[in-house]
Amino acid sequence: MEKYKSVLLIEDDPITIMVCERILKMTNFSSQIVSKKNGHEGIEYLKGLIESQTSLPDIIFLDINMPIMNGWDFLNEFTILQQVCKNIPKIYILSSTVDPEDKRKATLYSIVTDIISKPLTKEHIQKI
Amino acid sequence: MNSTIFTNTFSAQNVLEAFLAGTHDSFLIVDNNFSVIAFNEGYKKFHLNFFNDVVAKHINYFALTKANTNLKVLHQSLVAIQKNMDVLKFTHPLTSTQESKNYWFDFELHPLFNDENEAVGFGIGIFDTTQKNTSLEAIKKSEELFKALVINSTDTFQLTNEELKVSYVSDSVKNILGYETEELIDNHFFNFIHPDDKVIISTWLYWLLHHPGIVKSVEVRIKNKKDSWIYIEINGNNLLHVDKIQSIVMNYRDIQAKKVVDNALAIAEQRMSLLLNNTKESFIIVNSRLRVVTYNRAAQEHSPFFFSQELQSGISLLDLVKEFDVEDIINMFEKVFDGEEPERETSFVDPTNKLHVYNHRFRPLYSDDDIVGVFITSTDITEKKKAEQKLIASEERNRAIIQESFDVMLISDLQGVVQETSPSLFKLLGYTAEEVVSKNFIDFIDVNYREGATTTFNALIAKPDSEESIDTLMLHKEGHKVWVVLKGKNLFHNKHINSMIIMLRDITARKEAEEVVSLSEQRFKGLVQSGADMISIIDENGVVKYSSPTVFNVLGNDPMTDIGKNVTSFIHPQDRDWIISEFEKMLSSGVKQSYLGPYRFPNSKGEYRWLETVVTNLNDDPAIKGIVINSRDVTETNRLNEEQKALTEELIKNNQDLQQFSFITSHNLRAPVANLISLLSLFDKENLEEPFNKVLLEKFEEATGQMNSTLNDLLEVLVLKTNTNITLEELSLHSISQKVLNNLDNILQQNEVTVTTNFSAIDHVYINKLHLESIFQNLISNAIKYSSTERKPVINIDSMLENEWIIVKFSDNGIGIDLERYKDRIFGMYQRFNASKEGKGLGLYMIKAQIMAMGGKIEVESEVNSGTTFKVYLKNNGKI
Repeated sequence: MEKYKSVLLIEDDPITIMVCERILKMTNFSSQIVSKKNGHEGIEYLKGLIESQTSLPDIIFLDINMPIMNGWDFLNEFTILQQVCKNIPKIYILSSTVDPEDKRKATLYSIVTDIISKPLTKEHIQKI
Repeated sequence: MNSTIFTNTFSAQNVLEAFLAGTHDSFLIVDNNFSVIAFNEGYKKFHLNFFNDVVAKHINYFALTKANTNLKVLHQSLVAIQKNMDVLKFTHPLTSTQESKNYWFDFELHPLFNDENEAVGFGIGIFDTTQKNTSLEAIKKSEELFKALVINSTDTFQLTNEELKVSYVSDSVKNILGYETEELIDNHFFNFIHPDDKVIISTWLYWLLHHPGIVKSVEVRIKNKKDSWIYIEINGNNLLHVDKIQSIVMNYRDIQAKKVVDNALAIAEQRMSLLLNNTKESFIIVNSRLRVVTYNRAAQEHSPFFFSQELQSGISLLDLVKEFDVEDIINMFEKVFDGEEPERETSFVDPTNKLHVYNHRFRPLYSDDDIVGVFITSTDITEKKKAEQKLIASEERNRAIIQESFDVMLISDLQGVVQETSPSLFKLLGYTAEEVVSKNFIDFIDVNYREGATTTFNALIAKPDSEESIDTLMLHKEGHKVWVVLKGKNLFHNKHINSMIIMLRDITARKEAEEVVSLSEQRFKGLVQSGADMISIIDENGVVKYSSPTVFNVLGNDPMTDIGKNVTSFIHPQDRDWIISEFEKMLSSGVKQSYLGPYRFPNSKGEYRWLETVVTNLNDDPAIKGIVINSRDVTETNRLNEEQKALTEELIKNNQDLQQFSFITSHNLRAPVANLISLLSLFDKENLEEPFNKVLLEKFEEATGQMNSTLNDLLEVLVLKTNTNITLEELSLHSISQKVLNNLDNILQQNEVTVTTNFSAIDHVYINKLHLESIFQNLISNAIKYSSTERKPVINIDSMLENEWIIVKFSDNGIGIDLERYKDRIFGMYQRFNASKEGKGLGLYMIKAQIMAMGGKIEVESEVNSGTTFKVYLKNNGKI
């Protein structure tokens, strides 16, 4: 039985995407995994879900360093967007950042549940 | 008058009757029954005089006289001796019935016996002793008076015998001579008299002894208790003959003080006579024929008329004077003989060529009413003349000084009432002489200084010829006050002046200077804590009231020229408004002290200097009454601070860059490592043939390649960052651009890019070759990479000069960058803004680092879907 129905992965690195999808499936975390290459794509996808009145993913894994729209920009946009959402996803920042400023900044967003250092492991998933 | 006379009375009756008839004394004989037997003529008169009756023989004596009280005493006495039969003598006064005058009588009553010794009667003798008793009574009275006098008088009363041996002396002797009365009594007064005066006192005594009852005075020196000699005046009266006194009566008084004066007078008289001969004034008496009669020594030694001529009696005065003076002299004498007392000056030159000036006074000499001669008094006034000449000269000079100088001279009387003033008073106090004369000068002194001035004035009055000066505040007619030094000189003893001289000098300037000094001292004390370089005092509007001399040191301005100017008007226009606003804010808030600055303020050369000011509101401080501004030039400090600040900022930025670099690199290294770890964890080691393993291996390869690339990038950046010692060389923008375009030729052709270059404005730059190539390479590559698919790419590259910069501008017509969004990150490391384009996000980061390493900067302008322009600023370091 899957832990969560659907997961959104916003990540520009294809290897990371592949690895994450594989792990999430292997651990039965979720079988319905959508990945987007940057924040902008992620927002556009979520907007589409809202417009089609489809429920949003339960979990969002969000990278920070992405082209076009990075993780922070996504969070800014989504903060506005979630006000019209039926269900609000839990957002986990998934990053290989070592900058403490990023961790501090993450706490400023109430919609961010936690910050996870890459690589994503089975242990991380089990805690969620 | 003794009883034997009467014994033979009856036997020699006739003799006795003859005797009794001749005497003035009264005799009466009565028998044992008091019947009158006999009486003489004397008694007959006595009886009539005192009993107012005629005496007769054979009549009872007391029957006759019974009614008369005068006889009571006699009756009682007879009755008394009838009992004891003894002689009785007594004195008794009787009043004359005819003269109403008191008489004194001695009565003698004798019992009379016959041969058989039988008592036969009584004999009564009555002797008039009125004269004797009156004088005794007078003495008794005078004794009382004498006692009163003695007790109350300051004079000493003394009684001596004819040898001046003292028998009595009054207590007051102690006051005069200091002796106790016992010390004088029984001593000879002679012994106390000055030896030189003993002859005088002997002569006096001799005179007294020969003139009893007549007072004579004498002045002698007498030794007092202290063994010094004092003069006394003695009034002496020889009363040795007076029964109850039998003394020489003396009273004396201390005349020492009077004697001293007398002596002085005597000496003065002697001196006066000496003076006549010793004086320098000449006296000559001439007769009516103008011939010299007599002259004193002065006239003899120096003839006042002709120095060399010896004065002789009989010589004519006209022979002494110069010929041309003769007529004058005669005219003069004519006046004198008319009763006038003319004066005249004559002058002559003595053989030593010395000028002599004499003043002569001619006075007539009268004998009865006729003028018989002329008394000429001549005074040598040569020195006086000289002094006068000097005085006139100096007076003129003084007058000139007084009139010309700022000094004012007042002449006042003892009360300070102005008698005269110099005209310069008007200059000083605005009053004319008329407005001040006869007013007290004290009234022109400020009320707070009157006491001091009065004290000074009184001190002057007390001490002739003294000088005093005092600083005081005087009242100007127009109401303001003037500081003066008041200098007074007491010249009341000077007959010619006989006034107080008061000099006034305006010392307002000095006082103001003193006040400024004292104020500035207070100011200094008040401000020293701030320790500022320039100190000024301004009012609420910024107008300078005072500036410290240090203004000159700092700004080169004369501080005095600042006064009255508004200091804010000089402030740099860009700083002025906020400074004024801060200043006003401070004043209105009531804050005492505030800091302003730094702001720019011009120095005397017009160069702006950075100033910092501490403003202290001391309007409430009476010593300052202003706003104190302590300013210091912080231009140099400011420059250093700015440099420091810039340096610090740069360091912080570099540090942040490095930190960011380390974060980014670690992130970028971690990402592939994390991928490798994940891939490895997915790798099925048990089942190597598992088809997914192949996919994982491919990704493994990809991730390691990614990591290698990242490491190479980092190395490149590190080399750039650490290599500060870059070599600069002169390069042509044109040739570099051609080289880069050649390298990119394939890409340019593939994308049909049009590149135009224009380096006509500036072509040669002094720069690092590799960096410049990198800049061209990256910016051209980016322009191609982010070109629009809607139009053929066009890249324009040109150069221009702007101030110290050489600007190389790269413009394209590409897709542009949303600067609103990415401005902060555009030159950041690993920043990519377009997902559809390949890129590591390092290019712009790298060239920015390269440009900055050469002291330049890079700016970007862009419009989305229109194009982007990068401006590369390179330092024009003057080598080109």
